[in-house]
Amino acid sequence: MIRLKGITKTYQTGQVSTPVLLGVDLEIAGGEFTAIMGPSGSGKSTLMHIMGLLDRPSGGSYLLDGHEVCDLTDDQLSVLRNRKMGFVFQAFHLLAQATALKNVLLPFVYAGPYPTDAQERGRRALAAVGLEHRLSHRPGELSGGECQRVAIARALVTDPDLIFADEPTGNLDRRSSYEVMAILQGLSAQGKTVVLVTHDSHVSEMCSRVVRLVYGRIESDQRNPSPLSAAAMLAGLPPEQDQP
Amino acid sequence: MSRLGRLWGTALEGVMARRLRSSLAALGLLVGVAAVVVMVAVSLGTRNQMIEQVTALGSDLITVRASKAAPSGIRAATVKEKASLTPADAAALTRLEGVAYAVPGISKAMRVSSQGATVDTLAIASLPEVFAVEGQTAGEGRLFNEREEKSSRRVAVVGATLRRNLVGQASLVGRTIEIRKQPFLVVGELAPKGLDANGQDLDDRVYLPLRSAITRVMAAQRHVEYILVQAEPGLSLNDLAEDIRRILRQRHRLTLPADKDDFRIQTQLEALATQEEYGRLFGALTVGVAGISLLVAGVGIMAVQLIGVRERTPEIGVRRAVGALRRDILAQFLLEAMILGLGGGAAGAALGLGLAALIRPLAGLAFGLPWTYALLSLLVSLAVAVIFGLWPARKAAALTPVEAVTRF
Repeated sequence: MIRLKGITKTYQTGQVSTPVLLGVDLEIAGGEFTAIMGPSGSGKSTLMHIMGLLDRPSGGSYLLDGHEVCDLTDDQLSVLRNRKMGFVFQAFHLLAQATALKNVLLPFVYAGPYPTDAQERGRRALAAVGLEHRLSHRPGELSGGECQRVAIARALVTDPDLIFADEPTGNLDRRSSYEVMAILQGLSAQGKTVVLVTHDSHVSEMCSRVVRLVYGRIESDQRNPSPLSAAAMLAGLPPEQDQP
Repeated sequence: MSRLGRLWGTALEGVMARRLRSSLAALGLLVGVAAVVVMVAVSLGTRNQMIEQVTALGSDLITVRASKAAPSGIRAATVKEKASLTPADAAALTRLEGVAYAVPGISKAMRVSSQGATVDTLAIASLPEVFAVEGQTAGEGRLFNEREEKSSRRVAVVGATLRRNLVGQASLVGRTIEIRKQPFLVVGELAPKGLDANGQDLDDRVYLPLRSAITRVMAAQRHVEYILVQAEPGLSLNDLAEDIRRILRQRHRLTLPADKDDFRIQTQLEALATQEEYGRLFGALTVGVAGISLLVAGVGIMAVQLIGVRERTPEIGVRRAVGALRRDILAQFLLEAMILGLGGGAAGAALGLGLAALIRPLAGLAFGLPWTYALLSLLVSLAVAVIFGLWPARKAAALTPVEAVTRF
């Protein structure tokens, strides 16, 4: 699905150039649930942005489904993001003035033809993250965990092959984190490819593969044959809230 | 729903989500457009009235006014005073071919009393022909006549406002008014004429026969202020004006080419042209005021949109992430600016038209509401919004997805 070869990224700020990625080779197969880990400044977010077509590499080659994407125009990249990818961000990135349903339907604003069943698909996506009762709530009226689940529904609504999650549990308490991870594991189980950036090793233990990045290079790449089940962890929590 | 339709919806939501800020941004346009619409309405109104009056007075009227000539040559001392025209000049002009009337006149502010009431008014001393030239008729009683002029009778014809100021609703005809301690018998009251273009009350006047006015109340002065010359219909006023000039120069012994005229000849068309000139000046002023206020309004919209782009960078990021093209972002912010422009412009046009409709009866002006100008300023508002909204929108569209999505 994703094949990166010799990917480099250097940020140029005036006279100062800061190398962030120093040649990354990585292949991710369809259906894999990959965690990209590493300390701050290791380049893990940059790598995700490049894989998610939000940023362009300075060098190297990126084959997505066998097609080179480094030469595509900005518009072509936008269309690919719209059709093939969904994004979940640490800060949720929801539109404050819009309802949960409206937020979930955002990708359809930029879809070629507007699907006639958009509303239905939005409702289904919200139901898939357990928020069918929160359709007309605005982000301000939802908890952090619920907001992140709305964001996941937004990433799901177009039924993409790839889901990118940048520190999706970074702003959440433990229970909400498990809920979010359980949903992502469920998506992976359905065959979606999920790439997750985290610096939390507990979160990475729930993924099927862990890539460690240090100073812009891959330091280790390990398969995890038996990832922790977030659903089981959630069930194991004491019945009511345990706020950290 | 088309993509553009969806973007309109997005823009509208963006504006509505920030109602207060959007209203403030549109306020500048609102005030500017309203002010321009009102100014245009009033200036059109005064212009209409001016044309109406000139047409009523007759465009074949030439006014000769005494003026101070710049002294030149040996007769400098004699032409220095602003007293060049005489009744004899008028008589001479009457004999000119193509002249229907040449009526000398003096107008002076004077105190008039009747039965204990005293008011200041404009006294016009002239010949009976002045009524024909000015198109005045008697509303009550009669006008004074040739015999009364010749025999210096102390008679007067009053305007309605003067009469009202002196005795209210009662009639003055047949009664005596006093001007400078001299009694004048009121023989008639003029049919009312209302205000002129400068807001002067044409009915706040008293007309006196020239000869008796000069001898009794104007200290026996030998000069008149002006001569009204009514041309025969269908004559070239410019040629006639030239003839008048020649005769008056002759009579005033201005023989050297260097001698400046000690009078001024003005046709009604010139008066109209002067007014038109003022009108154009006012128009230019209006355009200037409009330009400045629209500039200010435009800068306001730009500021609000720039703040919006900065504040909503994460929103732009997530929109790009889910597939918005650069031009989708451009369109969204441009459409938002256009909504502000249309909203502010429409509200301003409505307010301006409303104010104009309100002013109309108060100012006693008869003018049509300037719908075309209202529509025009609406379009200009839209254009301003697009021009000033373009830069912020381009800034928004220029953000790369990763820049936008990672900035807080």
